[in-house]
Amino acid sequence: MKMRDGQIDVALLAGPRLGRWPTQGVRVLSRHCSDAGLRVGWYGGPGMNVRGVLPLDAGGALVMVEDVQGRLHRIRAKAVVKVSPELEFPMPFEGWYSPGLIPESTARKLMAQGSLNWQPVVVILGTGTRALRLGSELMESRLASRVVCVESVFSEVQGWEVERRRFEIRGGKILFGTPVVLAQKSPSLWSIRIRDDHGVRVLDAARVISVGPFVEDSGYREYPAGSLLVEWENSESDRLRDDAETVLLDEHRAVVLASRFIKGLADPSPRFKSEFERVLWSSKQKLKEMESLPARRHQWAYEGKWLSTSSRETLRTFEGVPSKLKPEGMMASIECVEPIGCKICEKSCPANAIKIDREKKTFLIEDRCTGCGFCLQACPSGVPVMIEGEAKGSYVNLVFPFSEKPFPKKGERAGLLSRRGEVLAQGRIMDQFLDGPVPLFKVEVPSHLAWEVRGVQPSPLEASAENSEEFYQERGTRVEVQIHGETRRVREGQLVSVALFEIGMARPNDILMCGDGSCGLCQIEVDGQKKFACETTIHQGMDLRFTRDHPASSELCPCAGITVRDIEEKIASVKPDTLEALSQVSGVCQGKCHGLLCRQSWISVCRSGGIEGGRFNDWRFPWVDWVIK
Amino acid sequence: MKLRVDYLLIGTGAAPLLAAQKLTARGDSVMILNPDSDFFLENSELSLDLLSFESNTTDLSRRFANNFPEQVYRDLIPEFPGAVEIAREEDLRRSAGPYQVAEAPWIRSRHRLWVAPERGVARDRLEVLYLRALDLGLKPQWLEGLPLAKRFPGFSFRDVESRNLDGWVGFVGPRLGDIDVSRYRTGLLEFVRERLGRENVMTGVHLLNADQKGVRFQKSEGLPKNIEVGRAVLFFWTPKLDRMLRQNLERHFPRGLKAYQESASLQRWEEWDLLSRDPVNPFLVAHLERVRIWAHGEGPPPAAGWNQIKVMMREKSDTWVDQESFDELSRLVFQFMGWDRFTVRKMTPRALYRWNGMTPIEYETGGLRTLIIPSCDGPLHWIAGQVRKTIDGV
Repeated sequence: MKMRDGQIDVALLAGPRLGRWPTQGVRVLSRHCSDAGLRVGWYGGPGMNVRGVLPLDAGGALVMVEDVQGRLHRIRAKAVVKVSPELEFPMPFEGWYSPGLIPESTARKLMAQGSLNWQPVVVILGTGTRALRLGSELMESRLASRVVCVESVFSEVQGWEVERRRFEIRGGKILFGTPVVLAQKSPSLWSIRIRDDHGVRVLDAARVISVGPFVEDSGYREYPAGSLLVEWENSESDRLRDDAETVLLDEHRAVVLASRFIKGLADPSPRFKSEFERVLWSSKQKLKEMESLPARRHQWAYEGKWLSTSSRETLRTFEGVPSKLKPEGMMASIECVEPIGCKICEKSCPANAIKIDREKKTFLIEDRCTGCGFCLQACPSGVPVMIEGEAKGSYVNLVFPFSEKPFPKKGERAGLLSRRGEVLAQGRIMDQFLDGPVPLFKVEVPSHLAWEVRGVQPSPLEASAENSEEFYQERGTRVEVQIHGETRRVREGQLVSVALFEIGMARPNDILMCGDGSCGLCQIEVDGQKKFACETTIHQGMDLRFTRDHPASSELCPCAGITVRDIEEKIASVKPDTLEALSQVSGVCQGKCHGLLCRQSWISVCRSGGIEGGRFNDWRFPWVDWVIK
Repeated sequence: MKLRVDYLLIGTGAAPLLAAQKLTARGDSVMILNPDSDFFLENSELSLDLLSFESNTTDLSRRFANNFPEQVYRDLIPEFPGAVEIAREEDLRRSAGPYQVAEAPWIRSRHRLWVAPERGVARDRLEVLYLRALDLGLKPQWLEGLPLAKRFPGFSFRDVESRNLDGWVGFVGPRLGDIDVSRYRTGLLEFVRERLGRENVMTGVHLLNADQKGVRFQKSEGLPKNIEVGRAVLFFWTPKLDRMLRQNLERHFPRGLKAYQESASLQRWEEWDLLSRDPVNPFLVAHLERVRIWAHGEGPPPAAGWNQIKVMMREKSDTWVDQESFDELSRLVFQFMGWDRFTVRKMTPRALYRWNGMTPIEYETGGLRTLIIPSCDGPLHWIAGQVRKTIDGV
């Protein structure tokens, strides 16, 4: 193994399982640092694997990077930023570590393969915007006919109201309760028990997806203090912010972080200093605004099936909603009452009819609205509707986005749904607009329901094949492989880990599906050689062997077999002040996955035990197992 | 409330805890201040003696005798409040023995195996060591080639014919003890904290100054506090305290600084944790030039062995994880042990001090007696012995 030594001021590193690299925050941080004369390096992405960081007593750290040719680079850096993905698992419960519970990233990979059977129900743990979006997407793509989101940590739904609305219109349900047991019923069916105030509910689900949020942290942490070694958890999936806003948040955080590096390591010119001071001041102000989280979400109140009088009043007086309708011609109604301020609709409007102010309040300038419908196509949450007609008339026409196939035909009648997904009446499909990225349908609605109806009931899905063998037939060329000497037919060219999920033989170790071996869990013997299942593709005649004794686990740290109780006992007996000390005595996060599975739950347990863990970074070397050939 | 104690202990790790335990047992009041943010963060204790003989004049018989499992047990048991279990290979193989507490710190008994290539300085040293062990009546067993290699922890028989093992020589030495460091010091901490109270065992403390009345310190939050020290302040040396201690000596006891500087030399070690595909014999610790290698785990070893291998490697240069480290590790794992790949789980840099003198450096500032106690790092049972001697003397 050839080693190359290097020296750098600021090393920006991609942590294991980080999807997009470099992140926007990394770009901004890098630009400001290099403008100040610091030598900056990015390490990560395809062919450049960061293996670990070794903090040095004298300050800074050694960064070990392996390049695409297998050469090892030892880089001495004065400041290090490790960018980590947010990987969230719920607090451990019986059977949580099993192929029945997968993180969102794995679920999206399996959805993209389009092969996994998601019927009859998918359970999502978490009610953040991401969780609700995933649920809506599963139902819109008709992969799942029912999705249930379970909130186990917070007392209310964590995502935007508009996403909740989209989710519930599609038929999604929200439950408040704590998952207690997950058990396999058949190769493609799992039973999850959820305890709530009324007792224990049992849901039979094709899969449980862990999305969160389960904690409130994001942003960067420096540890030890004053060392310029920083771990940055991506803010991109912040629970109360939209995608655009989290990118901005990362940018401002990058400026503030850059200022610390520049102050500690660089001697920039006076001109740069004065210019940067301005940028820094502005970023600090923006951060102050952004970090004060928005006010609580607006929730629509119902009197039975219909909006309550107060909610109706709120809606009608909201500045994004037209005060009066046009007798002829469409008019947009932007019903984003909560202060989101993602501004996508504002940017998409060619007539500049939509404005969002500094307080994230939406305004519709009625005179300018031409009814073009661009805002309907642009909004990721499907908030705007177009309304046409007179309030005094018998009917008005509403235009909604509608993605569930098969599409209703012009002239057909369809169920009209309230914001909660309840059928209020029948309406006629007046027109279809299928040219844009989102299919739109014009529906005739009784005028007294113009402010109630916000969706159309999709036609029922054809009964799905319960037998997974039948479900996967006709989905690509199938080849024969040997699994422990037993012949199984799987689709050619797909990943071994995906194939194992399809045939119901996935192991708990396959749930991360990191795709680059960075989690090091899914090792499998392929034709006598040890490989990673998430990196190896299926071919005819392949011989697969793996340890079959992978029972579902209830432990907090499945790799080392450490339970929540073990941690609590250690906290009670040793009474450590820091997470670092507790990690040494408990051995948690020292297993095969280096904390990818358990770190978040472990910190939550520690917090409930009175240990402040907000600033702890795990710099133990290396971050992942690395195999040297 | 005025704070007053007989002894103020400053440092981190097992040594001050052992001292606190001993001092409290004889009726003195004790307070422990730890400049680190928590306990054991420097992790400077070793589970076993690495036995790196610098010269042929080392008193081998004493060195070995200090490391026999029974001696390790005798060193560690007096100040430990709970059970310390001692295990021999035969007991474990018979699945019998007097062991009642699986979670207790275990002292294991492992043979030492010295290995060297056919030629070179290492071979010469090995022969001298063998002869000295023979003279001492330790019954070393000389081995060569395959019989030697197959005793080596983690040795693989893959392509064994083509690996030319004939040149390798070595001998199996006596059984020496090793201890579960983490379990031992955690048990001790639990007991000491309970005895002294949390308010007398503080971490994250910034030491401000010392005068004849005592010591002034400050926690990360709150106002500075004064503590009156009746008898002495004991500094238990750690690498992190080193700079502060040098400054103190320079200011108050320049003569002591010279002795202090001459008292220790630094050794850099790298502690690698590797994963083995197959379980590794847990009853043997191998020495190969500047490398020590053994199967690692806690508690009684399972019959099949552990899968984790610990490799302690002494650094020649003054940097960590350099080309030489990887070359050495690759040579060991690929050429000698015959693996086709290896998995690195962890690498921890260790700075170990070799202390020439074990006597505490003592000085007085304005009537306040201060002792700097060296040798608080290294094998845990050494530390226990050293602390006991020191406390008996104060």
